[in-house]
Amino acid sequence: MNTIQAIAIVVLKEMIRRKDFYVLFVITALITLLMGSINIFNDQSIAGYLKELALLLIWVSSLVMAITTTARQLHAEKENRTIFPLLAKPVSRAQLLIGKFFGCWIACGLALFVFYLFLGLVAASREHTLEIGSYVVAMLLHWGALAVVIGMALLGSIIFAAPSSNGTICFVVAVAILTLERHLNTVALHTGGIVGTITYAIYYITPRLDWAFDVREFLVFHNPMPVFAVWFQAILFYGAYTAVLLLVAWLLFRRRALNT
Amino acid sequence: MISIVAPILKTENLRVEFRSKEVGGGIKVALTGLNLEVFPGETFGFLGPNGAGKTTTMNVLLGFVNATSGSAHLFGQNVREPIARQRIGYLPEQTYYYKFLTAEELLRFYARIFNIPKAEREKRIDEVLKLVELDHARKRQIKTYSKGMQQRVGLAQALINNPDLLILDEPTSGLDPIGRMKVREIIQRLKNEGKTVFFSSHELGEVETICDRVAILHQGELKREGRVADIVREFNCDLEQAFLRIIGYTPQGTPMEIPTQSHAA
Amino acid sequence: MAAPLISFVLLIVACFTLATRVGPSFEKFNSGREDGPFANTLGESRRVLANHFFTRSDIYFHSGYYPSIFDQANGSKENHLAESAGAREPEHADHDDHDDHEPAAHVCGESCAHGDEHNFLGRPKDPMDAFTRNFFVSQHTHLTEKGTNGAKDILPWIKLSAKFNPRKVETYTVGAYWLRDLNKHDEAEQFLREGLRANPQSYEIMLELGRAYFEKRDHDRARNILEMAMAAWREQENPKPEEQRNRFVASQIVNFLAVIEDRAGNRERAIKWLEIVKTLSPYPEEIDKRIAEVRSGKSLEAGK
Repeated sequence: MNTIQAIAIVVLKEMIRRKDFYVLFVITALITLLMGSINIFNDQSIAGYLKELALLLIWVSSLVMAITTTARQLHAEKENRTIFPLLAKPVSRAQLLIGKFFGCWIACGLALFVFYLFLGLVAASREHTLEIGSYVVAMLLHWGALAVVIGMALLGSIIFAAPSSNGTICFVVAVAILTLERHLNTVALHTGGIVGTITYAIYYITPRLDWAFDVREFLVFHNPMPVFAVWFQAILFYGAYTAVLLLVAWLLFRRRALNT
Repeated sequence: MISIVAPILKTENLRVEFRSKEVGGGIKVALTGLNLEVFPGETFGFLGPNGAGKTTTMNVLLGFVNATSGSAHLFGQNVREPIARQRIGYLPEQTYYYKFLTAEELLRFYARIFNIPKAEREKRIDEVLKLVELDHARKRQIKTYSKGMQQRVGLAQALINNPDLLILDEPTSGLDPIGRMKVREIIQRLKNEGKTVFFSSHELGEVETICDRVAILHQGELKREGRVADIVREFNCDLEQAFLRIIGYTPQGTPMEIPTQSHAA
Repeated sequence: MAAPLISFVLLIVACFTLATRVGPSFEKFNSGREDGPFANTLGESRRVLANHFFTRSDIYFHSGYYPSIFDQANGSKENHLAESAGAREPEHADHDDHDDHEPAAHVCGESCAHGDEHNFLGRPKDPMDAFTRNFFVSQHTHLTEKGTNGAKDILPWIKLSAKFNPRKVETYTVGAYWLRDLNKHDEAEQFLREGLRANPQSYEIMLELGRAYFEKRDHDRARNILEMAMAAWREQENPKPEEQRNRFVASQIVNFLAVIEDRAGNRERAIKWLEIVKTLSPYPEEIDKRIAEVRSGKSLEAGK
């Protein structure tokens, strides 16, 4: 456990010192505050569009941060040759992968906390009300979805040679899942035949990141969030899916030759 | 009464093959049937020309590469198990560490991996930083270090867990004479403390001075293993000349000379 | 030293000469096009964005409950944000209850059963679909049900839509309706004037502006703008009644004019307008009754 913790702390330190997060946060904050300064028919209490915009920016920023940070982890270790003194210690490849995963995930979690705090403050300043419970649930679901994305990027970093290609593919897949996943069954039913069957299979196999993405609407329209049993099941699903991705990554990585 | 000391580093019929990634490319044999033993307290030189298989051997010992057949053990543990590396320190030839960390943070990170308790950890960090003369720069990020300083950081991380076996891959490569001297001093000091040192080097003059035993590899095969003094005596020349003869190197146009009595010291 | 300087001067002279020759042609080319940063940067794609933002206002009106493009491909799309605003004749309006003097209040047809999931979503297609419905808006509700000022969240999208395509008349009429609903009458009037500047021949906008003046009891201005609206409608519409569009809008214009004249005590003028309403209304016998009432001295607004 010490080993995994130690590797995760190094990843966290890297994130903090690289300043990626600060740039993304500043951009998000600037755009949100700019949009908030627009006069909408002399009504300063309108917050719906602002929340929607801010949530979209938060999702984009979190995906960029999660994917780019994770995609470069193993590649940078190999390129910079830091993987050799690390694996020359009593560190297994599984511990390395898990440590990298937790480092990236916790870093993204901290970033998400700051983003959602900012969003809550902006919304509360306009609406004079804050549904803390809803924000917490949305943030936890978002964090759970990011675990899957990070798992995907880690697996991709073992399969693909370059972090750029890994990052691009992960980003495209993540965006496709977020926007289209929910509708795949409708498409499958109307397509029919072998294509419909394959589409339905994809519908069941792919991770349901759209669950976390779509609850934004509940925040925007003040709808009640899903009950605890439902959203907790979603988080368990994300955890299980991430575990599968990490297992596959380990199976591919454990026998990979690393030549000095 | 004869006491049998178990080797702390042992390879048995170690064979490593690499498949070519090109279509139709064959198999490259990097090591053939390597049998090696290193005993506690020895300073062991691992020699060979470029491409001989030294790095491949080290990669197998450190778990970076899996052997095609045969076995390798460290402290009686199969090298595939991470626990086999609990008591070793490794200094790679090219030293690159996390540039965004300070030397202190890097050593703390590696110390945590070895499960060194906190109080002892900090004491150990102080000791090794003083040993490699990096105490004044411990709070600076490694990206601000010179090459020599980075090499010393490498040595520090190899010593952080007070290892019983040190594996050094060309430890004096790229260093100035002062740096080389300091590395030799450290190796000598470790030897005096009873540590085992296993290192590869092209500086045969240094090897002759420091090492107790050497192994000479060529084209994946172990050509010769034995005490330095014995090899030098056998070939009646210095280690460098003996090395060249063992690997069968002759300058063009010069017939290979067999050492005679008149060349003896 | 002299050669580069001479070349530079010659280049400047050439540029100015070209500018004077090309400039007028370029202006002639540009004369029919719109100006402004959005028009110049985005070109025609801004209309797509404007439509998207207008659709977003409809989505907001329904608190996020809206068919996706996949659901729409199955033919399920309701848009009664605009119907509510009177910008469109309601498809499911119950005309027996329709008050000819006032624009149609929001009517919900069969497709607008509150809390009823059996709209475009239908029953869950599979267990995963059933679970997924916990994570997105799957109940048909309106933002107006969330409090007196619930509808204000659609305003930014209306404003954006107008910004990106000032030629989209529906944006102004719908926006004005909701602004009035939120008691922002001045803002509604200003918004409509902006729309009229961009669409000077739009009788729909003129109607809404006339409605705004009517509600403020500024009958003179209301009369003027509504008469202009009627003239614009006549000019733009096909003279053959069977081929006329937007008869509903015209009937609203004329209705207002009739009420204005009735309030002012100009009975004959009121009857004249009601005769025109009769030609536009699908229920001329009802209009005959109104005419008879006015002739007998009864006010058009009596019995309300």
